Amino acid sequence: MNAPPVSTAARGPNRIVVAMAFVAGALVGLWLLFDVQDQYERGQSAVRWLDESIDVRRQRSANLDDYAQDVAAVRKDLAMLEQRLPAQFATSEIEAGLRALTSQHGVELMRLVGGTERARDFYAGIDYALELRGSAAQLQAFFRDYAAIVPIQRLTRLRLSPAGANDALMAEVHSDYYRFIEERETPR
Amino acid sequence: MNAARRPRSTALVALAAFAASLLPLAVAAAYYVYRTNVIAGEVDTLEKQLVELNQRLDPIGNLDQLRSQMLVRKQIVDVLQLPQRGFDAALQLGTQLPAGVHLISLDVDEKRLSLQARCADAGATAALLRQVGDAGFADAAVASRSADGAAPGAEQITLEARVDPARFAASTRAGEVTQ
Repeated sequence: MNAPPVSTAARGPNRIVVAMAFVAGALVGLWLLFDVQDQYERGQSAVRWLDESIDVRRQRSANLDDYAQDVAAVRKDLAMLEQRLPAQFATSEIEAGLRALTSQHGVELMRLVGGTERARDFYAGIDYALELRGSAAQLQAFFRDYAAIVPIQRLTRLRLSPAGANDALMAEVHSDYYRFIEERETPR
Repeated sequence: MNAARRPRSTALVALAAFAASLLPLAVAAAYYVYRTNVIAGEVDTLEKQLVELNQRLDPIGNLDQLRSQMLVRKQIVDVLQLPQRGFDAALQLGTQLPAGVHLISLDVDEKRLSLQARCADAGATAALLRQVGDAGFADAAVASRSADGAAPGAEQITLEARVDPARFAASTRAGEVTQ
């Protein structure tokens, strides 16, 4: 009376296998599509960048005098900044500058020692230790001008103590001088 | 015979399903490949134009490169030349102590100030503490004190304070407003 059981083979193709094949096809297709779409978008970005660069250069070429003036102005600014933050330390110039500044303010330079260079991401610093002797007014005048000397430097430590008679003071100074690290330079 | 055909038909239907879902996406991908090739040709042409224009401008100077070199240096210089008000204030303090205060030593770095002095009396110590606070140093306090045998009431103190750039900046701003 009961209907005979239908074998699994008689039910037609295995639906799970077919569904998995469909999903696999969709996944492969999407991977392919996203990959080429990404390449296409990168190409479009390159075209946009080139278009903008060409527009800028066409405008510059159309008026070479203005362009030359802009270049000269930037070169001048760069030269000023290179004085403040040079690419190389000129140790002898730093020391000569310090000696000149101390003698200008009547401050005695008792000791001047340069340390080793320490590199950071874009600049390197070298520590200088100075020992100065002078009156309060002389030292104040010295430090006022010292803040503005080139290459750029920053005080890291200062110790003041009396230095004998005549209200003279001894100043032990630690100061970091800085230089720029060029891109091509291997960081130390 | 039926049993032999069944697996093949599953494979064929699965293959057809795979192709059916893949095909429309593959067509869309082919369109993007075609567009990418067109763009590659465009990029070639534009690059040639750019090289020609650069050849005209480079003898004068590469403005973009110079500007970027200048800006990198400027950013560093702007940071390095920030005022060092802690040192300025310490120097001022060390050279203009209140009456009755005799300096033994003053040590300052980018974070802390330490001042050793002989004070004639408690009033001189209080005046020194007030002056250190007024100079812009934060949390000024006497860290240690000992009687100085030179005179009755005299003491030798070590005063510690913190260099707080924000406080120095605020006191400078206040000074500018007053002026």
